[in-house]
Amino acid sequence: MTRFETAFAKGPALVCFITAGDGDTAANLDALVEGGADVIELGMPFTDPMADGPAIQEANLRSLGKGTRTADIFRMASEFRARHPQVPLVLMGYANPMTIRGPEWFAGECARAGVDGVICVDIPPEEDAELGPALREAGVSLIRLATPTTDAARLPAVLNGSSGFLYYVSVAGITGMQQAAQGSIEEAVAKLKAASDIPVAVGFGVRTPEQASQIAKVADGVVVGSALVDIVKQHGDDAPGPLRELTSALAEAVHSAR
Amino acid sequence: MVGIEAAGHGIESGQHAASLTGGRPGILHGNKTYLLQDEDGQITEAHSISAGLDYPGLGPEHSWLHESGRVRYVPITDDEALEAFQLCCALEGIIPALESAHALAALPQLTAEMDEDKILIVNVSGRGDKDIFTVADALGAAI
Repeated sequence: MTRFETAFAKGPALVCFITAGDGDTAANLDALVEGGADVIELGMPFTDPMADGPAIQEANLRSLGKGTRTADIFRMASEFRARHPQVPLVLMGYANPMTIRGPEWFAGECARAGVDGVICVDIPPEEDAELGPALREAGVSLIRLATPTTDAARLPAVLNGSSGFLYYVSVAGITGMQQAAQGSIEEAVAKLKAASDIPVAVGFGVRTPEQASQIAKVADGVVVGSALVDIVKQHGDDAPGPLRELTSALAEAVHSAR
Repeated sequence: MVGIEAAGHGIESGQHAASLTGGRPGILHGNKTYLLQDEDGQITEAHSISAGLDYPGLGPEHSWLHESGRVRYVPITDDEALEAFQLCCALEGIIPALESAHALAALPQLTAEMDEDKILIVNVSGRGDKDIFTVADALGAAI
């Protein structure tokens, strides 16, 4: 079994996001795992993070302001893999840093660092002639995004070549802002699960254990990002404690939802 | 055909918006085109006195025309554009947009290469009333 399969086989999974290079990333990642995160999503900072709301935008700028380079992110990833051999690790980011040295280079670095999957926000399936194939060739999952505007006609294109899990972006908007209505999430997840065998994780706008619990009743995974990134902003180098606390509450809510 | 890029304070200053002359291909905002960026693919800050040109990339059609060789792209600085802006106002009574002033600024070097009976057409793509405060500020004029 892959790390993803193991993580999602236990019931609803908690996926936790932080931005690489914002705060003490290694200590923060450890806190997420200790708190009970089942999957780690590590954001690759980008100068133009167009899918992200203010919280993660600012995290990107804080990280880049400290001089975070792509090589640093792969170092963080491979050190994480050494400390946590079983926890699936996803890199989330934007096309340009992923393709600038060639998609094969990026896919190879992911494989070497023990990265399980990649979310590339700004390459739609219709334009994915290079990155997706390179990742698959390297044995790294390409995690695609479905949204409220992904209709039945387009869904097969989104699913084609995607693996690991499917990320349902629950709002037609950016990260961390508005919360989707539970009814709309239930309906969308049901449609996605009918169309695919891979787990469906729901994110964008999920901030509290209560929300996470509601979503975990229907989805295979719940993604929390901005609420964790806010903690890193607020507590800086002292973030691991509060991160562990919120993650524990989220994990309990998600794991006991069904 | 000739296209004009905004060279801002000069290509060598690093403060410009000439992504064909000073950038390389990448992916941003849904298109693959020449971009100002560092070796990690992080987008670098553009500068041009013209707001419409102050962007770290350019339309992908231009990248295509550049690579196919159908269009030759020439960099023009803020100062050269400002001079052409004033010249066009004084000679023609037309206030060109600062974007278009970049094209006008290339005229002396382009016409010098041409026979006298040849015709050169400039696309003055916008009017400059919107730019008078920017120009006044750059020239130190009070309006």
